[in-house]
Amino acid sequence: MERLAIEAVRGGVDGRPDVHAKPAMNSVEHLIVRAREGDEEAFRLIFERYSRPIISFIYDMVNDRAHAEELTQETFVRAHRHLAALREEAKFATWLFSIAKNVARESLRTAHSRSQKVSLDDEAVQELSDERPSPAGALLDKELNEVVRRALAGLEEDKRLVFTLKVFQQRSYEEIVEITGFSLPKVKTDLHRARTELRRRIRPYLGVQE
Amino acid sequence: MKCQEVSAALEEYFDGELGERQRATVAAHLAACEPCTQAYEALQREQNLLMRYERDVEVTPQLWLGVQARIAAEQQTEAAPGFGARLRDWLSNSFTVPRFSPALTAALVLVAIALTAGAMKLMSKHEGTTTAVNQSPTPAPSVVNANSNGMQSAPSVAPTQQPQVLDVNSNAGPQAEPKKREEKREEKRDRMLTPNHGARIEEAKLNTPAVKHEPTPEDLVKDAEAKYQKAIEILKRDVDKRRASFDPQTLARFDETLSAIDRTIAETRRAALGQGNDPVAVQYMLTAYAKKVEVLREMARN
Repeated sequence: MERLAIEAVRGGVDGRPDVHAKPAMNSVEHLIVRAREGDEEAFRLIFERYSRPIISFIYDMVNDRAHAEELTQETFVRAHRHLAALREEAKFATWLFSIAKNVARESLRTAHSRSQKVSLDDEAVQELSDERPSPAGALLDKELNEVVRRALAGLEEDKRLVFTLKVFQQRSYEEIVEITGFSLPKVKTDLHRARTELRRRIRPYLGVQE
Repeated sequence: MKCQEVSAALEEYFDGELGERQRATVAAHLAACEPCTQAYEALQREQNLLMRYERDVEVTPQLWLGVQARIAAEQQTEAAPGFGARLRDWLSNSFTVPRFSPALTAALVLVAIALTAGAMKLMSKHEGTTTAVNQSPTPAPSVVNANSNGMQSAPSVAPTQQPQVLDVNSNAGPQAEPKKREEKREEKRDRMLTPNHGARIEEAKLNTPAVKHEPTPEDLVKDAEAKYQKAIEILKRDVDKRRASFDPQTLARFDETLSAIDRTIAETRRAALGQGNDPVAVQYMLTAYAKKVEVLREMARN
């Protein structure tokens, strides 16, 4: 499901143009032009196209459903407000993720988010994954979700940001540099460390597929 | 390529971030090296597992309705901005100015803006006080419309009261009673704290030489104006040095723009300082100064 959402954002499952699509009318660029002119329907279509990846990304950052919904709204309201300032329509997704990143990071500075994070300390995550016997059979998705969620929450903020953008949102390194403002070496280092950390935490479950 | 090198580049290879040649080299190594292939497959398994992650969150119709409602509310606010909103916009626009300037002019403009903000605050504080206290049946002329050069016209200002400074100037004569004189002195002191005392500050200073007065709105406006003028002077010097490098058409347009701004400054200045420091008129005057700084800066950058 997540994969489909990402593919939808990127414009097609195989990256080739869909011969049945109405290219100009439905392209993001065209929708942006229309939205700038005050076409509310065009902005709704943009929202439809991007809301899922954006809410997922924000949720991964703040680890709270209600909060993620609220911040997703804030992201789109800000995007609408500054749409006229967007110079490269082709980079809309990168721009939108940048806004979402700012919104999420601002909120993480608040006491609410800090208290959320405190409850998800490293030890709790470790305990959850280590105490389980190595699963021999199929792992319930619910359990996996909980493990991944906690593992993500246990990551340092910069690493979580880079990891989420790469692994879940499948953004290129270049796009991540643009979204985060980090240098390329930092993106690579943070991504590698985040992967190592996540791997350590989900290791017991990796065995399921072997 | 050695296993160690492949291992270092494996994540980038997996992420599709390697260049053509490097990608081919890693692929060739993987085809022949089992441990490296296993490491690559582990990355794939990891990715597959993570892609099964389902979040406890979904896009509901309410989410869009919330966005829609907030956008509508914003548009409504934008359609009818009050004085506060206009002042906020003006200040935020002014704050964007220093970004492109040389350090000194930027500092001067910042100081000017800070002084303006202080003056506005003080003015609005005392505006209420004076309106409540000084009810006069004869309204003074309202602030003139400063719109001769495309500037947004200043909103009409409620008739200001006949300036009481006239009372201070009036010829009380030598026959005035000492008690009355004392009352007038107190009045003068009060007016030191109001925006309507105009040029009487100097007189007040003479009468009370020992008292160090707080900066009045007029002082702050004057300081802000001086800082803008200083910044303009510096930028003008820079632009003048480079005049020869501009094409005649650009130069003519530039001079025309500057003249228009100068006219605006002169008119708004008359309105601002001649009408008891009306905050709206002061705002437009300082906006005109900020515009001049912006235009000069643009020219200095070209």
